[in-house]
Amino acid sequence: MSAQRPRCPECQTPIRESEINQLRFSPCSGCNSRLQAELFPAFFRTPATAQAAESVLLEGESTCFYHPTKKAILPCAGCGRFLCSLCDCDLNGEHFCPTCLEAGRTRKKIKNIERHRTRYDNIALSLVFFPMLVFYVTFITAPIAIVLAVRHWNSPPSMVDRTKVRYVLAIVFASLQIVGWCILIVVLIGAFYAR
Amino acid sequence: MPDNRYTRLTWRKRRSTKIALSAPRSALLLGQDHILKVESAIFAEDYKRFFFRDIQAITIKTNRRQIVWNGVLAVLLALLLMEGFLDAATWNAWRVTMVIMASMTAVLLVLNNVFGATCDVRIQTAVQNDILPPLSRVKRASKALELIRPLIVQAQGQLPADEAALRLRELAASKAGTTTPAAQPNI
Repeated sequence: MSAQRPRCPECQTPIRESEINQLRFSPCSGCNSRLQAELFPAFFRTPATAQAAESVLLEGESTCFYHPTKKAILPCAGCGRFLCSLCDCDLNGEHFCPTCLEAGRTRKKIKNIERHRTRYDNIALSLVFFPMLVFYVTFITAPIAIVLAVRHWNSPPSMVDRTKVRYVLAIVFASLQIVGWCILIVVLIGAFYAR
Repeated sequence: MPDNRYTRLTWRKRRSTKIALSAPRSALLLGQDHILKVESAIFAEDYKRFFFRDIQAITIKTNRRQIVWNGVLAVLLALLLMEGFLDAATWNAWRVTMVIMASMTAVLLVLNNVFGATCDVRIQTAVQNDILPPLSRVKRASKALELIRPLIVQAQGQLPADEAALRLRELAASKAGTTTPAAQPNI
């Protein structure tokens, strides 16, 4: 049993046993804040210890891809290679080898270990609107915004806002800026030759 | 609209201790087997997952944020009303502006009380103890807990109050048992 006894987040006083899982608020004995604490069976679970991989005893037994002298216990869910208990990474019931796990993290193929996403839609939109404060910068930023929006149209979107409305707005306003610049350039060239 | 695999548990909320606009906003989504905490900055999102089978404890602690905001808004309301009504010589448009601002403050004051008492919610797993900023009101936190509790129970099983107390006593006794001999000097 590894867990610390639950404590009040404010004063760190241990919460009385009689107040736990009561589904109601009760005052903390230390700071008198009203507290509701719920414990779940995982609190008392003994942390799993790493298993030592078994060596191969019989000829013909399947062996671990990474440790040829160790007995394979299951295949990797990603690449299908045989793994020993040392190489087995359990991810919420699915078993992966360390290589697949790393590849899943970097290439974002395993959704449950993805920890970060870049909001390209916000970047594109910002590239359209913020440079309008110093309008001549839009000559450079508008094409960049369009390229960014088109290139990342199919990139994984935000977990919270899944619409492509920002990409659409970025493309529309950046196009308008480019059209504006084209008109300005044509007018300037016309004025130059008319002189 | 959140990811298809998720349902929204809370809307995005900035951590109440951070006023700066650059502070990440936090939202909670409910997945099939976990709670997803999304921290959104302007150009990126960071995710934390709390799997139902790993959640050890959830603690809700009330705080004084609601009372503080009530005080701040009440003072502001009083000042705006004084400015709007007491000085008869003031310009009419200025008076109207003050009344509009006072009514907006009054609305905020009412909303602050309608939403109810404020709280901090902490979630504990074997490897982390994290605060859930979107659950900043007791009503919302209790509602979310009502939603999450059956899912955790489904993943881990039930832990009645008397059994929890008994196992905590056992835990304390076992810890006392292991620490006493170590505390004795080795002669």
